Amino acid sequence: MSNTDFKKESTSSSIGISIKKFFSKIGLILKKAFKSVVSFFKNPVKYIKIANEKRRAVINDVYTPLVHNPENILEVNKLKMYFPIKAGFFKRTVGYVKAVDGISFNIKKGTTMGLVGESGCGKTTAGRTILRLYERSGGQVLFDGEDINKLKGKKLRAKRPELQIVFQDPYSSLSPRLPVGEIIGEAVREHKIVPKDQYDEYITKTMEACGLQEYHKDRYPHEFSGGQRQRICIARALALDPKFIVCDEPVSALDVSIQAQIINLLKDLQEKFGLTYLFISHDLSVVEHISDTVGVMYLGSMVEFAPTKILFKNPKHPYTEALFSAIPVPDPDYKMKRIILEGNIPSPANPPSGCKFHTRCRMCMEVCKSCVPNVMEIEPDHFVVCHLFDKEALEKNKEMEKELKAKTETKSNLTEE
Amino acid sequence: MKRDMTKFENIKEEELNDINRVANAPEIDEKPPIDIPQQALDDERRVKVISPSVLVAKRFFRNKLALVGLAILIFMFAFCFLGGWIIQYNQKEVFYKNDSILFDYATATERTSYENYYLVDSNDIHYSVRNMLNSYIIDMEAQSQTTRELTDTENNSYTLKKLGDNIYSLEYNQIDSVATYSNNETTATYNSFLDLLILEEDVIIENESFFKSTVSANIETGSFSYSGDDFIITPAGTKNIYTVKKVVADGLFDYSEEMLGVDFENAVKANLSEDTFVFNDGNYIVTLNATGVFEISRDFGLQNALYATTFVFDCYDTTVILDNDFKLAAFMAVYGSTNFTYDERTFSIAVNEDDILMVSETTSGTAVPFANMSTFAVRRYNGEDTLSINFKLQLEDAVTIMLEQNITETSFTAYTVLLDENGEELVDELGNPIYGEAEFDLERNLSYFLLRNFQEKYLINIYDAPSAAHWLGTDANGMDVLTRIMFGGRISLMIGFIVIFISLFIGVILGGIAGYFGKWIDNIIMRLVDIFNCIPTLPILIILGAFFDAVRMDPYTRIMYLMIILGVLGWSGIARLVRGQILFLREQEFMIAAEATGIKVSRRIFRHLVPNVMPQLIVNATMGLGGIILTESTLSFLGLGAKYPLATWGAMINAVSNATAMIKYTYIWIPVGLLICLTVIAFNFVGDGLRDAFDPKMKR
Repeated sequence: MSNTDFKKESTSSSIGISIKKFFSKIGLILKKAFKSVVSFFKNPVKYIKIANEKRRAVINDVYTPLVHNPENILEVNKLKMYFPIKAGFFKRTVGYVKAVDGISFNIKKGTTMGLVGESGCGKTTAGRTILRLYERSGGQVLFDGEDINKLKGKKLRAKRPELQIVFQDPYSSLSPRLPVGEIIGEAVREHKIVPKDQYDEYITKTMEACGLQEYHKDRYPHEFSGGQRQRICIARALALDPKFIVCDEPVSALDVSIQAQIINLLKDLQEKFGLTYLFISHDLSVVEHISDTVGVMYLGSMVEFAPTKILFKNPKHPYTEALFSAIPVPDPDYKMKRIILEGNIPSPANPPSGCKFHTRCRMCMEVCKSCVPNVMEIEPDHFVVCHLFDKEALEKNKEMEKELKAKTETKSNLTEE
Repeated sequence: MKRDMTKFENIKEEELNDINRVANAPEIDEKPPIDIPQQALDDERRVKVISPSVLVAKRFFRNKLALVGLAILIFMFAFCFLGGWIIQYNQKEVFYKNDSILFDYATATERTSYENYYLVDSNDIHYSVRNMLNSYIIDMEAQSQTTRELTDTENNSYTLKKLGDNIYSLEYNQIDSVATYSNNETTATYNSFLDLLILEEDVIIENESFFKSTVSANIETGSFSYSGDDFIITPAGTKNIYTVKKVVADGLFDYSEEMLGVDFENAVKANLSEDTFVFNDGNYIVTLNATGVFEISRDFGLQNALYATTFVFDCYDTTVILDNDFKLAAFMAVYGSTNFTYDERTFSIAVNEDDILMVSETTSGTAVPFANMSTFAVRRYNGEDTLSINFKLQLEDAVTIMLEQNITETSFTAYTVLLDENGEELVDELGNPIYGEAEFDLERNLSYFLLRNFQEKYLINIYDAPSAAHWLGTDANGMDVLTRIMFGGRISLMIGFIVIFISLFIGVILGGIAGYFGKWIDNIIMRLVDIFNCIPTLPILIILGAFFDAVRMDPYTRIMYLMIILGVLGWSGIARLVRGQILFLREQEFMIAAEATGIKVSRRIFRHLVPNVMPQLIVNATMGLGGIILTESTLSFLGLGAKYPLATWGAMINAVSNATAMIKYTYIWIPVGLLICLTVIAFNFVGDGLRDAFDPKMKR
């Protein structure tokens, strides 16, 4: 009897406690809301300022402004793109998906930069943020020494033609109700890139340069194959006389033979018009073929950045090594040294502390778990973000390991006793 | 290098044409033999350039079902708009016809109720006696009494006497008010509560305020003198209100009719204390009423007030109309002197050889039959007494036979003036009526006999079967069905277009805004859409229909309001469609590409978004047209849509609600029903066809 009574008491008291907790929680929320409302009405300008500062503090938008180098066409400095996660009835921001988390690189005029990494690491977002198709959360993008994010309205629209993009999916990137000539020429007319009387000729020329015929002008996108569609996309970008094109995995939706055509076409056009490419891909062989420099991304940050030849010969970062070990070699007798990464990619909304890669790194040290690695220039133009190449970090690691050892020893002693 | 084949500069123009060849056979060094024609997808010879609208049209016309639908629609529009213009009738025109139908000719009845013929003003007899007279007489008949004393509710006495068969007289004590006499005159009313004195008209009193104070001081004593005149104060019946009266020494006479002179006035003054007095051989009565006024009235004694009788007069000359005085004279004489004069003519009443009371005129010395008095009344069906006495007598004989044989229906042949198709008397060239034998149906009802014959009548031509004049017959209102189908179709077809236009207008704007701007705007508009979706359409329309009925709205205005309401209730679906499409398209890569090329927002909406929504809209609208036509038909069928005399297809199919019409007169509603079905099906066919034609993924 006494036993059951006790049970009853315990359950009722626990319910009471939970109800108390619930109400105290509600009270706290109301108090907070009331305070914020009061502060908003007291001084709205100050309130907004504080809110902005809070947001910036969350995003941690800290960077030293770049000095423009005229050799470079594009300079990216600590670029951040956080997508807010909204939840609840009032759609409050509860967190951020850190799709691009502070990447920095430069592209020289007339060169191609490859951006590689596994899917979901933020390559496409980086490309689109550079073109200001997304409003960046932090950092700086200089195009020809001009901060794109400071442009507005008409000026921005006038700048748009100089930066173009070729999309991954040639099927959804063409408006199904417009004829090809119109798709290519619409923006040409809008920006008055050529005089009216030369317009037709110009479109024809551009199409021919991309391997399309004049009579394709009046056709609709659905009448074309994937490769042709991608040519239309390239022609659309090219017709605006751009300086810089982001190629967002332009060949991944195509079969191999057409991939070659498109890539060669891009190369030819680069030579012909002196274009600069940011070539986003996860196909390493394609990147090796087309790029002058390569950046490797992992979970929103750049882990290694170097000229193609150096990087492909001598990858330094453990992630790059693992990635490159996956390149297939067309030789059945060749034994591959595959480095297989364990575990899944961590969520970009809640990345690991220290080095983001430490959860899957085979060379993981004690420092990696707590300290964010610095950018190290181990060779000229070869940048690696890893503690392995940082002498200070290695020393620090030794100390930390010693401490850990001492801790475990004391622990084991205690248990023995 | 093999790869150099695809390098731009190295490729010749013809080779560039054929991407397939390059793609499939990059390894082949040799060129294919020249004489084999190249089969390429993008061959200029094979594919012709077609503009998008032509492409859609081509696809549409390839669809046979859609073509059938289009043909039906074109036919419908031509039928309704051109047909209504060509046809000679109007939708509101009512058609008439001449037809021979068995129609009421005359009624005959044995009169049992007594009618009162007044010698004096009927209001002198109290209504309680007047109204009950018939039942008193019937009671007397039953008890075979000859006289009966009656009193009304005001205790006046009357005497009801039986003069003879079918005739009674009522006598009453006639007292006429002659004059009033009073020895004081109302000068003012006084309100003691408000201290307010209101003088009567035409009364002048010096120093009114002093008069008022005198009045107020003397309320309790009840009398006072003021500037030589005596006044009395009496309560007026209401609290605090008094009447002030001036005493007049000689008294005042107020005659109701003629002045009777000083002698009469002296006689009155002398006899004020008496109840009655005699003056100039007349008996007078003096009464004092509640306000202190003497009423003098003359007592004429017993007087004959009225005759109650069941007799009717049937004149030999049907053109003669007898007036009340003649009848009274006849009633007075019938059981008395049997002779009477009226209008300087002399008449006598006697029972003739057929036992009928006959009034003969004896002015010229010889008795000329003038009229019959009987209790058997024969009248035309409309109540006029225009039938000849001969006909009446024949009918009376026929009725007697009928009653003897106890039958309810018989045919009756009368030798009488023949009638033409319209019920008028036939006349020969000299203007004399033509006599002959006419056939009638005689039918006995409860209290009367009904005489009917076939008469040619001008009638509304309802439910006429299809003929050369009316191809689809006429409806219940005698209107041409074909004409009404044509005119009704105009409204039915137009309603769909206007309603859809209104719906599209609201739906596209609100849906577009919701879809393109998103966020809270989208939220608000979508909640609005939810609200509109929740509104139960039919009950609302029923309520509105009742409201329109209540305010007696003109049919055209009603249709206008109906269209607006249907449009406003129907936009939510379209808004949802547009919003969904735009939400989907907004996230498409070609929209991002358009943004990257730096095109204006307006261009992005109208060149990239709208064309992609348009096909769905057109298809939705076309499909919706049929639905709206059905809705309108339903509403009109329920009596909530278009109102008579305006024709719509739904209102016309309402004929089905009459069971007889549904079974017997199928030509009224089957054509309309078929047209509604065909139109709705055609709209659906065309909608389907358009949807297929607009779909770019459909094969050519």
